[in-house]
Amino acid sequence: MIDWRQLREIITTPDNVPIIGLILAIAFYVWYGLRQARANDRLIREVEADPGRHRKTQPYEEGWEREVQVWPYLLRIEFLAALIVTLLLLVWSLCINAPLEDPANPGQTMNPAKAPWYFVGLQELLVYFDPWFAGVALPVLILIGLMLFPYLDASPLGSGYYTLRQRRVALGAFGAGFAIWIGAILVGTFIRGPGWVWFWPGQTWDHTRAVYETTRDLPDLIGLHNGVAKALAGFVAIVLFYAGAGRLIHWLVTRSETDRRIYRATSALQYYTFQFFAITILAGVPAKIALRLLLRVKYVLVTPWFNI
Amino acid sequence: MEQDPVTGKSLSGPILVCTLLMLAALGWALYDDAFAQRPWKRYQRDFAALWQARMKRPASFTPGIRQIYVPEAEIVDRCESCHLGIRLKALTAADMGNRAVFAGHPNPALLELHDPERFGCTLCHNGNGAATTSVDKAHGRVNWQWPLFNKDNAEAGCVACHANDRVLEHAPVLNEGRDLYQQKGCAACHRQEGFDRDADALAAVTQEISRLEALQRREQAGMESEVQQGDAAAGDEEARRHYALSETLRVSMSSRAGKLAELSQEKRYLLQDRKENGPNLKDVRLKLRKSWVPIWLKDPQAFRPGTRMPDFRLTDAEVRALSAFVWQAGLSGPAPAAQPAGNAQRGREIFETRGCLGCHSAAENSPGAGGSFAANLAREGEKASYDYLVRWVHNPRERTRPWCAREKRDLGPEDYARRGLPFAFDPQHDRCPNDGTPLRAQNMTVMPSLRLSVEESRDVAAYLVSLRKGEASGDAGFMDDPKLAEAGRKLASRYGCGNCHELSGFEDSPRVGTELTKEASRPLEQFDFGALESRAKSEGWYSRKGFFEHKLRQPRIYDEGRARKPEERLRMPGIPLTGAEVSALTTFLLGSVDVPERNAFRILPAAYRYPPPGTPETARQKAVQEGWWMVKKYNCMGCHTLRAGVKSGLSGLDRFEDSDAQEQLPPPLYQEGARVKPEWLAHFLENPGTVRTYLGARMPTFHFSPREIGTLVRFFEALSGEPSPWIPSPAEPLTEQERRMARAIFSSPAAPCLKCHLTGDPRHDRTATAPNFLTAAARLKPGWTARWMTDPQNSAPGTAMPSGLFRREGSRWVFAGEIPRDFAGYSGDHVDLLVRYMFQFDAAEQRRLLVH
Repeated sequence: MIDWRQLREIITTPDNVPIIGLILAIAFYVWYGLRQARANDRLIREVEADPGRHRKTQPYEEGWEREVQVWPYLLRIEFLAALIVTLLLLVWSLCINAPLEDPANPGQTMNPAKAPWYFVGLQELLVYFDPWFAGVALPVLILIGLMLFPYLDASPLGSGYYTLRQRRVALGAFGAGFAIWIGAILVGTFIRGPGWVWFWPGQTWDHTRAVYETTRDLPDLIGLHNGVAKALAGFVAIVLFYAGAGRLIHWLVTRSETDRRIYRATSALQYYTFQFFAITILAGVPAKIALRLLLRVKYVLVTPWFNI
Repeated sequence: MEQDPVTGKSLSGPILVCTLLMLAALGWALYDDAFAQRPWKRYQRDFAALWQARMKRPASFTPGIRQIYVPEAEIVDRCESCHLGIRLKALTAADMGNRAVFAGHPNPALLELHDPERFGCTLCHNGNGAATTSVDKAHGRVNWQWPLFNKDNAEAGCVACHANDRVLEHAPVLNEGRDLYQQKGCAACHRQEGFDRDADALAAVTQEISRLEALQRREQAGMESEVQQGDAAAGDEEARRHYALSETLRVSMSSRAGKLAELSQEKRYLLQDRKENGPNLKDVRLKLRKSWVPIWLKDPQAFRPGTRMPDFRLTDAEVRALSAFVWQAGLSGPAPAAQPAGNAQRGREIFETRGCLGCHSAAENSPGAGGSFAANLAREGEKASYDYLVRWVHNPRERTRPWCAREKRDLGPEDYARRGLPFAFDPQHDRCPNDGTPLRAQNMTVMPSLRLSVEESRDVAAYLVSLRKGEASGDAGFMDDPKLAEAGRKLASRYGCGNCHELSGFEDSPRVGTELTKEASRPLEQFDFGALESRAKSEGWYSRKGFFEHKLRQPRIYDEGRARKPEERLRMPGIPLTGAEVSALTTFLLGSVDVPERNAFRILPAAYRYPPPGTPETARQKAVQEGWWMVKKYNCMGCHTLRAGVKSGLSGLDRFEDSDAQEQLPPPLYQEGARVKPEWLAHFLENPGTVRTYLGARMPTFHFSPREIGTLVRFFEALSGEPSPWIPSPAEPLTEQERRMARAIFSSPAAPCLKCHLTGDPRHDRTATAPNFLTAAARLKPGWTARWMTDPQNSAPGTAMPSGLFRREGSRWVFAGEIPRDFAGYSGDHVDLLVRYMFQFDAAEQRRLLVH
């Protein structure tokens, strides 16, 4: 049975309003970006079919000017956008009070204690990884990875306009990472209840629900319980995973002719750096999440010093 | 605006609209900040309009926030911004168009005692006093640890400062809540500071004794070793040093020994004072019919409606196990002596006249037939053995075996015989023959002894045994099965039987319930609503009040919808309570908060607590507080009226309805401290004699310890505002002339004192009823006696003592009857003269008067 009161409470909590807005905004911009990209891709195909035409000299649609000035044509659109956003913020702040709560009480921790919405995803990752990894290593890897993007990109095409065709790998990689991030935020916000226990939407948050779930390590699944054997098995598993996932990613990034062209232009250093981040973050994190949620696996690699 | 060269569209429309909307939003923001309608503005307008309509003149206040600010207690209360009429005494809601918000405080006397300028509002009522943006916020219904008390529970606010007041003026609901907490035995399982004073004190004393004894042992060893070292020392100097050290230790040990003796005495008294809620289960085999035990355990309320024993909702298997355990844990001897039969008819008369009805009743479901403080005896005959009842009625405190707290066992005749002692013990002979520590020599019951003779006891027991509706029957053979008893022991431990009853093996069992002293301070999230949390939220009882009320009505309600092993389920038993009783208990629990002098959220300076420390009145107020706990413990109000306007238990009974019977009521005590001398009162409480022979009811012997006697005497003195200690001023001797004058009034036809007052002559005493003058000097205080003679109705409304014996003449009282000749030229106060005469009245003088 669906507990509508619980559902309403979660959705209308002032803390969660930005996330509702986030869902709508993502849907809108994905749709909008894809629409533009498809239009551009069509144009690109036309240009490629007729090598005599340079794409920059062609109007986007029949009868359009070839070039327009930034001022006033771009800036006034931006001004309008700024106006609308400001207006939204004003009305929002007038209509919804800041979600203040009781005076803080050091003797009482709120349950569930949730991070602000932009950190809920990180908090959710704590379910799957040890704090040193979820809280330190992973964010650092993500930041470095994002910073490295421009240097790993060997393609001169596809910058400054929406396109899917010329940027399939870049968009796919970013989209996968973004999906992990937003998914974690949504799970943390709407699914996690008291005790950070999994409650499906419409399920009543029961403070007393205990989860009698025993977790295990990956090597336990194949009957290895000895410390050294476990560590070795975990290590082997990770090596195998890197090999397998690398193979898969290689297949994914060389599927289309454009992608293969870009791949050929990519240096070995660029390629392996990309592979490292892609396997670790884009493949490793979802794989670990799946292991934890579906097979109750706590660690893959168990050593006396650290666990992954 | 120029069209977009690419799309051909102009953006001037949207930009204009957005700009205008932006301006509107800014205006809205400004308005909201500066001029928005706060609810208090509307309330103030309404109040002014209603006031004008009602009083035909404008209300004299300037609109604006009205605030009480008390820096000392960090109170910022703006409640009066809406509750504008709260300080106006006679203003009712009806006066103000049925708007309760504008009514005056329902109890203006409370406001006089608690000046709002010093106490604010939220100190008592809770709520968020500083909030003004919405009613819910001001009342603390959102985001506030201390929501406003509901109207039914308003008196909960008293507890924070009046935590030690067992009885509180102006707080009838809270008083009832505390009464229930004590009477229903809540305090036995749920510690609540103050409610188990004797046990708490006993634990503290015991701990202190063992601490001091350990120190004593250590210093003894130290002393001996110093002496040895001194003996073995090489030189004089060193030997002297060791001897001096051992001497120092000896002195410190000797002073500690004094302290230990004092504590041991205190412990004796406390062992005597500590009572249990329920009867002593060690005596079940001697007292009860075997087949009755499972019947009782199955459903106590069915057998004896209104009993204090709660319903544990035991399954049949549990009943069998528990019965077996209780039965097998009982003492099998020495059994009370076999008694010849008594006269039930006479027993009934004694039962109904001697005062038993102050606490007991012998009729079911008729509240006017007797008291409800103690067991309803309507079916006593079905359960109890006659021989045991005779012993019990004769002296309820008589134990089968004394309990040694150090050895943790009941001593038998064999322990005494080993030392060549007779098997005899009472509060005066309460040393363990094995180790000399204080014994528990009495049953832990508050039931006093009515000093009945053995014959009278037999009669009463015969009457009680005759009270029955049916016969307890059923197979009781299983109760001797040791396996069942083992299961029963676990149940007894789980349900905390030892918290209320004396039960072998559970004498010092810890309380099974959670402590409730600070229960309402716990954040709401910590209350375990179980699976009912969302139901509570949607039904609007997700609050402390809702939690308490539902728990009290149905103690195991929060197990609903939960899969739990039997031993993990809630175990609080069902206690039959009416709606008003639930509300009273909830009020008390809601008030049970932890209010430290200062923490992050609440502040309660010491000066706000009652009694405020360091005032001349503090000691007096403390004595009154202490006394009420005792009065409630022994149910003094069962027979006596202690506060004007609050009737005693007896006076509410059917048989005391007509005015003739009312003269049979025990005396009211609200001026007792002013009336009698403290040392007389102390003697009387220890060993009550007869003051009023005409009364059928007698003051029973409660076997108070000296500690309790002191508490009661101080209570009565303090209640009457007498100075403590009370030092009598020496009476001025009478001259021969004065004696003659007084004698003349004493025997004058207008005031024939000895007609009604007892003299000790049996023939005269048959018709006389008032107290004997010979006892006056020892018993009464002269000041009260003078007040009594001039206006007896003031002290005891309805008394037979005639009024108007004296009249006021200038600054003195003059005899109102014909003034005897001897008074010619006497300018003194006649009442004063008579009081002096009375206080020097002796047997010779009485004989002399009677001869005349």
